[in-house]
Amino acid sequence: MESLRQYQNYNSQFPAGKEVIDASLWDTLPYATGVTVALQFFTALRPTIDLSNMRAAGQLPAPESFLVRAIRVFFKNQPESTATAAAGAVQPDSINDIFLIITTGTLVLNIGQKDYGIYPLHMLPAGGGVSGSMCVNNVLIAGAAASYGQNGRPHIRNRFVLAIPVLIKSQINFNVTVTWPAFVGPIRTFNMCVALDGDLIRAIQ
Amino acid sequence: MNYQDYRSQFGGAIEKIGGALYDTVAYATGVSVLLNFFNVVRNNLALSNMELAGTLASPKAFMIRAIRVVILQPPMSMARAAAGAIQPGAVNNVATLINTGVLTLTIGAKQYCQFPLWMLPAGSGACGIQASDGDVADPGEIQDMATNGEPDIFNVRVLTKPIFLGPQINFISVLTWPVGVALAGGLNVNIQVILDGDLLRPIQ
Repeated sequence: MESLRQYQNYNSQFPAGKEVIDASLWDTLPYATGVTVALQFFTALRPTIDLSNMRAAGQLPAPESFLVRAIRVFFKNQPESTATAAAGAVQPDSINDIFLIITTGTLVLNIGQKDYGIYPLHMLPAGGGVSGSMCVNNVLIAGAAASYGQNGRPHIRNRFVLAIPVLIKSQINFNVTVTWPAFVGPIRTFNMCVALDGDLIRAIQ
Repeated sequence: MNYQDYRSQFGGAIEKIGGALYDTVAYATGVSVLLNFFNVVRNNLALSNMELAGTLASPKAFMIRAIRVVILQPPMSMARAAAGAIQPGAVNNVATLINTGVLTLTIGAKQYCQFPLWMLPAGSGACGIQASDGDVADPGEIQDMATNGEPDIFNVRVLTKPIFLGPQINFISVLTWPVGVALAGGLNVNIQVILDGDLLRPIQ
């Protein structure tokens, strides 16, 4: 090769601009019952695509960038069978698990060295999940219950859309941190997913 | 002979109609970790409306405006699980399939969409009310029903940037799971992927 310009003849990326597609970035971590008080998302690569689609830890590889338009928090919850609580007591079920986590958890989106959003988790509904119904037959005098909980109604319109979108440029570090003032105790440990919806700007190939 | 006088398509012009491309594949309980959609012509319209495998017949083209994943899960009656345990049934089937399933849409040689299934609600499905009665000996039983998100036509992931499928361009949608999901009762469940959008076709 005689000059750098000649390398352009072999470019794997079309030089005349970028394309924009609808996309989501997501990351998943377990909420350990009775233990977790802080979780940091998007800072590590995960082994499988269902857990995360990040291709670099804590940043987007060049030349990709991402315009964040909405933030959601989804719980990879499963239905639970429980005994009914005594009258007047809190019912410890799948819905209560979600209630405990979203009413005391706070999410912070950090880009570079600056926070770009601080929200209680209940303000960031999943906008997805199972819809349906359940009923139980049992002879137990104490009673039996079955339940499934999620962060808000499982409806795509039920998303927290940012009034002002936020651009994450390529190779700028970013993360999402969720904290709780004290651990809470859901019945089981289950996975929590933070998702950013928006526009992915990438190379034309 | 002027062949244009005998054309079956009007002057090469194209019309546009609202359309949907769909395909259905059975999820084999405890086994499936990858399902391909749109790559095969199925044997009846209930399963798919693809006329060719993995491509649109020329001059047809399609503008994808929304993607949905329908889990065709019937209502179930199951033994009640022990208190504190996960309750198998229709709700758990749909929950486990959408918790770990991911859809990837590839057009040509490039990936154009990758979303967890919980982000792609069906926007359709049975909607109803259940009630039951019966002194069933402990541990008892449950009846349940479930869909991927609320069965509401407005509950569909509309792409903020539509994607154009040109004629004779290969495309495929693949659903993957990290491990096979064991479904309640050992019954397989059909999964349908739907692409909503504009169908471009010749005027005839």
